[in-house]
Amino acid sequence: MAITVEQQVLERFKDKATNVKSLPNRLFIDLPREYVKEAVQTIFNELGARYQISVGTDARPLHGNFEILHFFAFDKNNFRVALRFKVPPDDPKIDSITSIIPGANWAEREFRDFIGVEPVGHPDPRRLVLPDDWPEGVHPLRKEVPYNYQPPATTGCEFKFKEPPPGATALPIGPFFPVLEEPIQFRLFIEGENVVGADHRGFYVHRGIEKLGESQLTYNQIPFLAERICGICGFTHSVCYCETVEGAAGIEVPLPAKYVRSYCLEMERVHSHLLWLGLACHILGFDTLFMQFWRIREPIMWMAERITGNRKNYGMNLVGGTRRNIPEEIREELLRVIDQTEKETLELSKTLLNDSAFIARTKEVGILTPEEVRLTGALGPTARASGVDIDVRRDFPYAAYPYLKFDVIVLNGCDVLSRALVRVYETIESLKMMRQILKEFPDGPTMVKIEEELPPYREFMSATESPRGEDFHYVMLGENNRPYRWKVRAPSYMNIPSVFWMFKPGTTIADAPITIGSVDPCISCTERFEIVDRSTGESKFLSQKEMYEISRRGGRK
Amino acid sequence: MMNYLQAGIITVLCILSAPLFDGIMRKWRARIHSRMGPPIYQTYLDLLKLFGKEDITRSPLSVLYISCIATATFILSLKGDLITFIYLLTASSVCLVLYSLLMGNPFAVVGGSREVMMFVIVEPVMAAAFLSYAIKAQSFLMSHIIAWSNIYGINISSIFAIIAMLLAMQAQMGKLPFDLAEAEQELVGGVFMEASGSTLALFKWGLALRQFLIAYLIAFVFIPWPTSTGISLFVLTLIKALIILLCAVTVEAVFPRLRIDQALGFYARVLVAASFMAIAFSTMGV
Repeated sequence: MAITVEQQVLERFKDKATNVKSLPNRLFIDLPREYVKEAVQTIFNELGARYQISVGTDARPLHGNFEILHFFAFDKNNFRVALRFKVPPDDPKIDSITSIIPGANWAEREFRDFIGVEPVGHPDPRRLVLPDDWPEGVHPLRKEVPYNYQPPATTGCEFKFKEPPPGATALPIGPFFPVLEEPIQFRLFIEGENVVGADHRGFYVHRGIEKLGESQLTYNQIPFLAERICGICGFTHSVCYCETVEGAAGIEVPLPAKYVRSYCLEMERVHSHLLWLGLACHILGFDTLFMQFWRIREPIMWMAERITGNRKNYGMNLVGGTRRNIPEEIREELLRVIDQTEKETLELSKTLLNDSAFIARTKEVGILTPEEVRLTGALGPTARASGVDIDVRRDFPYAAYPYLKFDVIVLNGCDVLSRALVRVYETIESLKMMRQILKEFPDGPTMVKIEEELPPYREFMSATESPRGEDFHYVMLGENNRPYRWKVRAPSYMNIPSVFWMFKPGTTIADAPITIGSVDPCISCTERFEIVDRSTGESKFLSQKEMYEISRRGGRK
Repeated sequence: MMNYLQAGIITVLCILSAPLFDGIMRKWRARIHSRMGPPIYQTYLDLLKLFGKEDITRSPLSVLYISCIATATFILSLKGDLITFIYLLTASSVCLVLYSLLMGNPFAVVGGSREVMMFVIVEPVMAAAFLSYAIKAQSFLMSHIIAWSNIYGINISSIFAIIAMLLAMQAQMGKLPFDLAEAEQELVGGVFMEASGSTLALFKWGLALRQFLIAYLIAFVFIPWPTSTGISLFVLTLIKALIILLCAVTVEAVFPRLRIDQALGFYARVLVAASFMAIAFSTMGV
């Protein structure tokens, strides 16, 4: 019998491991922090695991130390490994792994910002998430910092962008660029029309959702918050959160609920991919197809409203199942919408792919090689268009996917065109899955009742395949019916840094927006408006009602 | 004297009606997009609004821009000299480039440099088409050219010249797939990025007039058939110009934007395949 991955991993680390916790298809290994680089080198380069994310936890109330966890996935073996390193609070330092895994760049800066553990030897030790005027030494995810802490306003703090190379000019793409209307800035360094470098600043409106979940909300409130992480693919977050908590607490969800979840996830993927195809056309100035893709997307939005009552933010998930079923009397109607959307998608994609100018603008633009996918940890259609065969739905089956028939679309073009094609084919696959779900829908209730509090301090990680790639959640259960630590890693977190690898020599300004757009970046700009009076420094939030009134009044004073 | 008066009236009419034609184009584009689209008088409202807004850059170049195009319109209605006409069109482009370069905004600078590259290649395409007509008519005066066309009708060189002109039109109008200097999705409006208020209004009005003027030129000089006189000539030319404008919008709606190297390559081929052929055939007298 061949040895399993679990045995292989254990074999490598058995001398150093101070504690090993084995869960179904998951392994937590505690290692001394001096060993971090060697351990990561072993698992990433020798055992060939895929880097997922690093998480910092303030576990001082539990055992007096901070925890840094590096998560890895073995996609071929349905197996996940977490390497845990305990960091004492009097010397909060750990060796940086960014030199081994470039994809860990952001994650390490993030735990430095949030927990205050310094990644030693990090190549780019600037702030990532915290605002520039945030006081030094206040780390929001430490337990002693209240969720509503507001630092005093200061001025004169500025983010230090990299200097452009000699002879080059800095060209800011964003925040709020015409084709990337989101709070993120890509700073391109250009010589004439050519892009010779780039820098980035994002997280301008980070909402502190993790902190809110850990300090204010209970288990069954969080799914609704999780859904609001993203305005396009929010449902995948709420499914992922629920699956993680259910896994940690050992709750088995009834089969109909799994089918409802898979159905809504695929519905979300269809609308997200059609939205992206439209936007890609818009970025290239092809507004006719932009409008047409959004037109054929509209029935899917109608379908979401018909099933859940909302076009977005379905509000279906709770820990233990879903709140609603898909009513039997509307299934015929839904099947008709699926047929219609499939037909229209095929027709429109054919128009798009027969357009020589579209091909000329996307072929061999924004190249990302398979090795670069491995190093950056790029996910979803971005990875699959570079020939990297990963898909959480197949590799780590969840919800109803073990019962569904579908192909994972993998292409080898490595360019923007391939990313577009992957999304076209995936849309068709999703529609097929939706049809299968409606035809094979099982009977029964969609919820299990959970009576008592969930057992504290169990931990679990899960992932779902969102339209943009693997969405990863890690939860450590806590007391008072709320998580002790909830970590969300949306796929764009890995995909956006991979854009810098796509700016190969020869990239022009004209290629930059479509290259950035090709990873379908999602920055989640759903922050409410905050009005700040600059003379007094007072700020106030607008209620939904006030917001509506202002919108209806338009520009009039 | 009557001649000048008539040309003056036509020019004023053109300036005033250019936003209307722009509105018709917007409506047409919206229908292709499956949108309702704005009312056809929307461009007037936009201009009115812009004139009421704060003008930050306050550049006389925008006045110069629209004046160049207005004067070119006058030359055209006077059936005047083609060389002057091309000069004025180029001068308007130069105004735009100067304006964008003076702003110092990197997006505007890139837009300006793209505008230069485009007119360096597109202007010869147009000039060569003019030249082929001028060779046949033995004159650079539009009145002579129109008269020649009315007498001798269409021939091989005119076909090539018209093709070159129609292809150059898209870039001359600043329309997709060649709206590289403006390229909203890449350069946030490029050359116009820093413009606001009345400066922007004049640029926008000027651009609408320029688009109309190019269509009017093709309808009036290059395709003067069916022949007519007086008011009916004017109405007929307007109708032809409108059809040409709608064709331009349709082309705009079905193509994505090209990269600058692709656009330059396209016009280099047009220059060789259509413009030079037009000249060659007209020297042969066919």
